[in-house]
Amino acid sequence: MAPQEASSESFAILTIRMRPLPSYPTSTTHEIRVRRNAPKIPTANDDRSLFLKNIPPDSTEPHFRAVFSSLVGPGRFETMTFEDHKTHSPGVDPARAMKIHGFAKKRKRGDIEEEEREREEEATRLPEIWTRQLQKSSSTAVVLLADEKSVQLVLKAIGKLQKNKNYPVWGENLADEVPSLGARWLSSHLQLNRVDKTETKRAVHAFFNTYNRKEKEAAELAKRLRNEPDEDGFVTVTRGGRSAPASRNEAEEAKQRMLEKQDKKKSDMKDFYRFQLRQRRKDEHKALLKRFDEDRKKVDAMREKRGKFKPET
Amino acid sequence: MKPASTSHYSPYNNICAIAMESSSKRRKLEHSGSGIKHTNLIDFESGSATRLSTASIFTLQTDELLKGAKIDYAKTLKDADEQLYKLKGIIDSIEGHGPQPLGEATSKFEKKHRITVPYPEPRPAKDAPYQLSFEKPAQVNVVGSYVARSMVKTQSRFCVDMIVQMPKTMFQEKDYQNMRYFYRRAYYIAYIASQVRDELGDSMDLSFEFLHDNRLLPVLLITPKSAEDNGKSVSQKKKKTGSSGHYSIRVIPCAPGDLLPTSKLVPSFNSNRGNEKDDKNTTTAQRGTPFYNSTLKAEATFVTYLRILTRAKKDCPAFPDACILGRTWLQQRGFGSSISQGGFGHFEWSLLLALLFQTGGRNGQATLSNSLSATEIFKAAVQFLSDTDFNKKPTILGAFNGTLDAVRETGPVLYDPSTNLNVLFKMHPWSANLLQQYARSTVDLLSDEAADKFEPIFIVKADILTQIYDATFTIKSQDMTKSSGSPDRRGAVSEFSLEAYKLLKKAYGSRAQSLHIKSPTTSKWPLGANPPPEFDHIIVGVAFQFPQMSRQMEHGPPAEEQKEAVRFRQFWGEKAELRRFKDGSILECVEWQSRLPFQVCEEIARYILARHLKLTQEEVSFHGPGLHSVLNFSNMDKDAFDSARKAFQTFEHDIRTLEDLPLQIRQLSQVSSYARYSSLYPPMLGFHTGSIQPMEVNMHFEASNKWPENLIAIQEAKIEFLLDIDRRLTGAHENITTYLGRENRDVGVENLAYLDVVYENGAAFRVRVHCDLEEVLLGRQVMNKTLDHYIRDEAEETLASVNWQYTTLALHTQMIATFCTRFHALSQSIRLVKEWFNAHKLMGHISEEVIELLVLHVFLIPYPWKMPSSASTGFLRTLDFLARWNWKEEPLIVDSAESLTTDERSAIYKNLETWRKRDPNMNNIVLFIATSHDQSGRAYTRRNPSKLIASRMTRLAQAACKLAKEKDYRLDPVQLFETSLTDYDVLFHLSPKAVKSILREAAAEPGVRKQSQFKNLDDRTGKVPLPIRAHPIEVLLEELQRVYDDTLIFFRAGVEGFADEDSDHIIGAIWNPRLQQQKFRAGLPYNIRKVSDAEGDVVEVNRQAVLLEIARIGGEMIKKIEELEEDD
Repeated sequence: MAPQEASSESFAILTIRMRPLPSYPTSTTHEIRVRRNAPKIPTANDDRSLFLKNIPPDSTEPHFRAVFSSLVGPGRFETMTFEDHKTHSPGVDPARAMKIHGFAKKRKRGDIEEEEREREEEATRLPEIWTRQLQKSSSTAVVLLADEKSVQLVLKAIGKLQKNKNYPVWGENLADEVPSLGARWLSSHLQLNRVDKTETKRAVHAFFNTYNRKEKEAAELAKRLRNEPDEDGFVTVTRGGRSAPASRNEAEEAKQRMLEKQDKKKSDMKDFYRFQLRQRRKDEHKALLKRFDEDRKKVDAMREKRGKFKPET
Repeated sequence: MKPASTSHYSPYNNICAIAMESSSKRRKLEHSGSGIKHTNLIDFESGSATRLSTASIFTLQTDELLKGAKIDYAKTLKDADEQLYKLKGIIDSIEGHGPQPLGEATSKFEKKHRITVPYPEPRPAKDAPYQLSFEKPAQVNVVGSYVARSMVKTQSRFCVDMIVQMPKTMFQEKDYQNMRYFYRRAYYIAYIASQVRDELGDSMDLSFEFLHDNRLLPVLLITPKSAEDNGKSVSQKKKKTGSSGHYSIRVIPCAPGDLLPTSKLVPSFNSNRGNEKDDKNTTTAQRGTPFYNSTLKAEATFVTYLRILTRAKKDCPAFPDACILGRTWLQQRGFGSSISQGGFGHFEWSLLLALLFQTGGRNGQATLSNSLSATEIFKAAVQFLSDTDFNKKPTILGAFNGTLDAVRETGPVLYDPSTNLNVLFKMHPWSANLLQQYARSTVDLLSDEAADKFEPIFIVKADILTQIYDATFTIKSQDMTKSSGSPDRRGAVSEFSLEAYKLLKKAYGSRAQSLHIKSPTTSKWPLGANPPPEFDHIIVGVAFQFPQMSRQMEHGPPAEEQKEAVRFRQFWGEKAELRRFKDGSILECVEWQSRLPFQVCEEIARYILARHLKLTQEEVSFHGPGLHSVLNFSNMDKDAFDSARKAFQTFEHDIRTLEDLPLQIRQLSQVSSYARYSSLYPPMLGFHTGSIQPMEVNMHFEASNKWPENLIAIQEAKIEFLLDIDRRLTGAHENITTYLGRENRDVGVENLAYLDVVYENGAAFRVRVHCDLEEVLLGRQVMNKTLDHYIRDEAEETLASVNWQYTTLALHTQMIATFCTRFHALSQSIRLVKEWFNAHKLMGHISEEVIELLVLHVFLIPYPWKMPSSASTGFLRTLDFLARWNWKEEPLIVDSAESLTTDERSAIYKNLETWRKRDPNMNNIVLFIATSHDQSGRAYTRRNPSKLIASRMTRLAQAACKLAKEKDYRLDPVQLFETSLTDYDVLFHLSPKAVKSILREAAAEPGVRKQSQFKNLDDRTGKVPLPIRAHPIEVLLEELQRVYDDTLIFFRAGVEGFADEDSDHIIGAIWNPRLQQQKFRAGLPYNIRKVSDAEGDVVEVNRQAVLLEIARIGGEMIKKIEELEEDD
């Protein structure tokens, strides 16, 4: 779950006060664990980011912006990413494209291409169905602050907090509007669930535009690879004949057919010779004996557990 | 009787046949031997042969049962021999006295000894003209199971029977008439009692009781007092171990063998003409007195039968064991020798066996062979009982040269010509029926390869009325005990029961499958008192024929057949009327007012009992119907389900007639419980509740290679398909509106969207598209060893859910729908069981489909009963099954297609074994359920329930069964459905108001005006509600479950119940028991708090913070969060 576990630095405890609610009129505190972010694979922004563990499930960026500004004043908090949102999305490339790209040389993607890709992704995104996402209980987040100094300031402020007990209050002084939870949240979700057809259609079409283009590119690449020796002078062998690439499905079906044929051949020769018949009978006899032994073992086991052989009263 | 040939019960089962085949040499040798006897054919002595001959688990189990069942005579009946010897001495030495007039002798005796002579009713007149005497007994002997050594531990009491044969010289020729034998007998036993009491003094408790509840036969019961000379510590110890040491001795006077003229005691002969009224009332005098006569004849048979039984024991070594098996079988079904227990007990069983050893087969040959083993004898005897209807035709065992009419009686007859006795004279017609029914179900079970045989036959106690009968009612009336003065002397209650049985049977006709009457037993009484009066209530149990039950009308004969018509009118009274029917016929008929099946049946019983037996409303009280009120079953339910299915047919037609679809539709399959007659509430088409319940449908297309070879692209393509179908459907039909809905998940490899199709009439369908390429691709991922572990696991998980949604569910729906139309009580039973799970808030954990399988299993393998014929029996037996099911070691195999072979079954068992070995803590797949179409056993219970939930289910079922057993027919079924809230740690009280407003809002378009508090100004009023993905409570719980997966376990009822106004909306939860205090790690999956007074960085779950979080998430929806105090 947390890739930072290897790190030796210990966590500081950031305590937050939680206001009571009419349905549960108890005031309590919540403990978030904070430390410098030190992922296994370092990134450029590690120095000015903090790693948070055990954040409340109803966390949003405005919530934390408010908490951090109450700690070190406004302007230090830049942005944050939640653990749940970083889910790995499996490749959306056509199966063939993925394979071919593996063969081809890795090309560095330029910034322009990156932008292009983001725009494409934006277009293929289906309409949102939740106004607000819940984090899993006790999940993690990474907060990006303005600079390295802010990190120190925050950690210091947290240390101070333990002494003066003047804890920040959750959900107060929110700068931006946060969609509410509860009944409104549920009903809007259910309304959004009946998605807009035209918008969805647009997204799906955009998706397939990209998808088809990629597939075409892959086919071209494959064709090229077939003719082009690489730097060591080898020619990559790719699937498919001159006319069209072979479908994986067809190959599988052919295999299935072959197996069936073999099976049939085998079953034709069953009970053909006398020795087979005798062997079979012998096997059956053996199986019977074996089953009897098993039955006896079962009864023994039942006896050990007792009561099984006593009629109920 | 169907003659059963010997070959039927031969010990040569397949196994032996194979054994013989494999050693063909020996077979040849043995055939050449002269007299082919069973013992010679197979060498039972040789090691391998014996092992094979018993190679069945059932035999092994019965052996084990026999070992455990036999009592240790030396321990339990320690000093019985000594006591018997002493007693015999006392009785033998009693001095007799000469004849004295009856009145004088009685009063003298009663005054002297303060013992009331237990004369049977009516007591003899004081001035009766005959004389009584006492003479030394001709013979004193011990008989019964004590001598036969066939007592078992589970007997309710241990009785040693000692017969005292009265000498022939005491009697006169005509003593068989007018109760005179019984008066003499009563005086005789009273006299013995007085002498024994004088001799034994205080060491024994003496009392009278009726032998087998037969009010003609008082016997003396002698019970050793428990705390006596053998020391206190020993007796206390004995008490702890149970009934051991508590035996009693019954002293039974009997007649010498040749005393009574059997020719005069045929059933049609009236031997008890009463005293004076005789001449006036010739009609009753002409009627026979079969019970009286048989009781008399049985008096003379004790010694004869002792001899027969002893011989059988000598001839057949397995005989005692077979008797024990029979006794256990009967005992578990509530049968016993006494009249109240059905009149078929251990004695009758062993006598039947002994007779079958001699005769019963074709041409008077023996039915059973002496060389059979105990299990085989048992099986054969049960087979005999199942084939024989004692009621219909007298069964005669042995050479008999009279006519059948000579032995015919109204009740069951099993005639033994050697003694001229009807062995079953204590049985009522209904108990004979019941016995045959049990025998049949046992025979069915024995031939059913799939079922476990041992437990239902010998272990399960199957005499709980509510589990057997669909309805039970008590008749309690003072009139019952008033003797009708019938000379047969069965006792007033017996007479009354017979009458009621006849009436009810006729009134119910084809409605009732079986009818049973249970009468209370008599108890013993002290020597000085009068015999206790008969109890004034009987219990009637009825098993119905479900499809016939709800008939509103009783059709009689046509008006032309006057004789019949008069009889019909005579039976039904003023309710009978003449009607003309649609087909032109004019029939006598009776119409009932009630509408529901059970009410109709109750009405019939009440009416007919009131008409013929003058029973008032209060005197008949029904116990059954409570269960049916739990769910408010209505006779419209089936129509509702049928109309839902019809709506689907319309929908299918509409879809299939769409033209130019890019791919042909192969199949539309339904997967919702509305489509299989099993939803808790029947589907309601139309817009009654303010929400729509769409029925889920899977759409399968023909195979195509045009699908993209990428899982995500497939999901997107499915949306495209849905939109395409949507366009065509709305274009072609105007009465359809459609909505595209999203599943609650991010873009990924799983299904993304569905299409809700709503008809104008309110029928709604939720369509999902199936693409077979998905399974292929996922399967490839699972097999691909080059992929990362977690990707393969994920693919496996997804594959399972795809299979579940598109394959298993479709097959399951079809299967349950078929069985619901075939087994009439199944649908209601399933719904009742679902309600039970609902009431105990287990619905979120145990899926509907699993519950359906559980109930179906009880219907398919109903042993030791017959298939349930109503919701109540179906429900109670499902609970019984749940209470017994040891899911840790046994898979549940629901072989609905009856296609599994023995090998496949054992493979399933092995499969379970390996799973348990691999996962001994049962973190996955706690319930292992295999069906005909899924032999893996894991399709249904992949995710749920967990071990905790499964054990809770079992515990609840056990508690329910215990209650049902204790209360039996007095059970108030509502108690079983009472929700207990004390077991949870936290209770979330939901606000019904908020839930309702969410429902209203969610079912409307976003952005409509809704601020007005007045309904007529609100834009939503009158609008057709739009379909929603799921109930808001379900959505909330989905989210909570996702967020607090490792912290809390939630318990809820199904949301269907939330449609009601007044149901309490409470969600229970318990803290995950695994959340202990532990050292902090960054990977801990729950809300943590530092433990202040602990060393190091130790954390615990921050409960208050978690609850406050839930309060924030739920908002207005959660009214109150209540923490319950922990008891321990």
